[in-house]
Amino acid sequence: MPEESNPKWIKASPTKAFFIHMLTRDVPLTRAILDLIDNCIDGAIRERDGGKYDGLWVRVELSRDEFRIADNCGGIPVKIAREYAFRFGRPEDAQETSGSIGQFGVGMKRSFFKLGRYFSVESKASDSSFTLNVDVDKWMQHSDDERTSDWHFEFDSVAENLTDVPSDAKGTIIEIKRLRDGVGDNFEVEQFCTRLADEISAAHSLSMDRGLAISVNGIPIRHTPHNLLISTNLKPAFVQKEYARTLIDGEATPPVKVKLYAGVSERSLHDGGWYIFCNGRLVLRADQTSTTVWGPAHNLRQYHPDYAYFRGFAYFDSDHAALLPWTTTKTGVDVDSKIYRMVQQEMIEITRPVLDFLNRLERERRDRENGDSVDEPLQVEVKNAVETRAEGITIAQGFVAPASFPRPTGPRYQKIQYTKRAELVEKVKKLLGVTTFTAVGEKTFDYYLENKGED
Amino acid sequence: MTRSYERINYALRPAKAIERRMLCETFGRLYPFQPVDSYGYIGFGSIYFSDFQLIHRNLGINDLLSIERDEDNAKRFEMNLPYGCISMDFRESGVVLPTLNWNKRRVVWLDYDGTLDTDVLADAATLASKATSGTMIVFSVNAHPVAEPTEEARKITEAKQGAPFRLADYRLSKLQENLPEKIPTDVTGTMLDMKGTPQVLRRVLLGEINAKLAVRNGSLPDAEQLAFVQVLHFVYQDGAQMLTLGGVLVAKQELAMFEACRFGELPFYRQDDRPFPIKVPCLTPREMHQLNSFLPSDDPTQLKREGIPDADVKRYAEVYRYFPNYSEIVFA
Repeated sequence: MPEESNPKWIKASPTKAFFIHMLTRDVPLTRAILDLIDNCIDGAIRERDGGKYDGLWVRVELSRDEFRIADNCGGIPVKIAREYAFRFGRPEDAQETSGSIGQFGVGMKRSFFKLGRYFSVESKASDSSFTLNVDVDKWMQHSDDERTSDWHFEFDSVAENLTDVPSDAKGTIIEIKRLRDGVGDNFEVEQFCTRLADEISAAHSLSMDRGLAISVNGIPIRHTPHNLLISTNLKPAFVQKEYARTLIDGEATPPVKVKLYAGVSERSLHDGGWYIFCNGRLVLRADQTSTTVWGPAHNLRQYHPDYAYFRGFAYFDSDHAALLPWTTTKTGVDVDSKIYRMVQQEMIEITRPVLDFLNRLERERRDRENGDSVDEPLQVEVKNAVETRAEGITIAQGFVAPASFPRPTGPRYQKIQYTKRAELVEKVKKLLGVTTFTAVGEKTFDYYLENKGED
Repeated sequence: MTRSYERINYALRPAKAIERRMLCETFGRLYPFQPVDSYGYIGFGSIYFSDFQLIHRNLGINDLLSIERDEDNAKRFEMNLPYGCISMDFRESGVVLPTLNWNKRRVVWLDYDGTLDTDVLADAATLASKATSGTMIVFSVNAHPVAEPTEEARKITEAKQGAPFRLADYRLSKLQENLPEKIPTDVTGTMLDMKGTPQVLRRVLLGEINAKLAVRNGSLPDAEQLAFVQVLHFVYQDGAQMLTLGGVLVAKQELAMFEACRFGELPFYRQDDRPFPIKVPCLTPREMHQLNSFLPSDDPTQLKREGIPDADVKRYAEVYRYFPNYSEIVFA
């Protein structure tokens, strides 16, 4: 029954303006750009089918008036563009890219709207190509009602069934113009570019490890591999698990594979904590909160400067990206997801022995500071261990830590410290006939013990 | 910190000795799951290994692991090992337990020196997340109410909160310090007396176990989903009041095996929040001999011996089979 003539009909469809406002509100500018890079990486995954990314690149250009991202990662096939890539939300029957990081069907569109009011996409895939230009202001003026035809875009040119696309011509170029308020200003701020580079470096370090080259304004992004200290007596814990999907939601599709590493690395208050990756994409960096393992809710102590040596890496991988515990902005984990809650307990358990070692390391440092001991075997062990890539570890093992030396038997010693007025100390020094403050302390102590002590 | 084994000889604590024998009898009933001698046993053997001796001799369990954090005295522990089949691990239980293979059925008795804290809960969480169906888990913790503070500490507390000192509030704050984020919201300080303290600790411990089981069950098919079924709940006091809570992890598909253990027939079986109090009557060897000849009795209330208080007779009838015999031997 047509809605106009149905008195029971209540309108509930979103307006485009509302939709765009809601969609762009929660995503920070840097994350919007990271989302576009995610799309390039999904292209690389399709192109190389799990292999290395050598020779593939992503180039991001920021200027006051324009944003541009170009890649040679295989382009977007017209079929995918027509049916899925530009749709809001991911249809149930959408074809999966194995191990993809674009998942929710919001990333690319959200980024377009966040950045500007005009966008163009030019793509060359192996058997198809297209160009697309959208003036967002005009698109929004199309009337807002529930007829889906008003939510479509249109190719400016499209070619299918191509056979002669040279492999070096494949790729995607996205340009965004008429940037939104503040966006262009930010692009000119050096600090913004630095932060963007940092975030790209952290979020996409695994893809860069596989050979993908990413640059911002022509400057290549460097990345630090995830390292842990290894020696004969100090070895990180490594746990590998596979969760069959039937156990997660009853359907038989690919499993979620989980790799967990926990160990010791360079001391850094800022970098200590847990790192969580979904299909290679960092979604949580150096977490020091109860989202991962820290604090009494998990029966562990809060993150603390003594734990600045701690590093934990959790890699969740699945061909079915919907099973992974990430949030749509890829800036955190979905702590209520079943898979995450199961893995979290494993994370807590492999964290504990590392913290136990770090507590001993701290005790050793204090003993030394108090003069109770002169050696620091644990510290030496940490200093002599070698930074090694976590992913290089392939055999499951528990955390191995060097044993503490037993406290020396025999009498224990205690250091005493106190402060007195300088003139009085000088007076006692003269009375005792000694020249050092240490001697003042020792002599006065001995004197008291001789006169008041019981033995 | 003084170690509890330096303060007390475990072998001489009568309530503990009774508990140990009761536990051993309980463990012996696990045979419907598998022959008990093929179970493993994990405990904190201290230097006396009293539980290990009893379990090895009575149940024939050979796979025995004692966890001991006092590594500095490793030589002393090793020297005191009563049997060759006991292995030692000188690390914290929280470090050791996650590394074990939990597909093997075990009896685990974690008899802690201290009270319930996050380290104990971490061990409970590990067991609930990992142990297989048919595993028997027993926790013993100090459940004595928090003592009145010294006059000085009381003044500090008053100054800090700017209100007159109230023991109930003080107890609740101490408990929260020990178990942050774990105390149920309806718990008030007035509950934390002699009777209430073990009740609250039991709730917190069961809460942790059930929370972890819920996560674990989320990924298990219906038949394999697990529950922790309580069978033991003791409160007793040799020095400080202790709480012991024990039960079996049971998968739905193995409930029949659990039923076949018939734990309910044990006179000290407890499945709810009403504890079995282990109370030690003070009797002479001669009195005990006399009473033994009338035991077991269908109705211990009818059992009367002139000169012995009725209460002591009743208590003795409840525990006589587990009662330790002490005698003095002079080594020359």
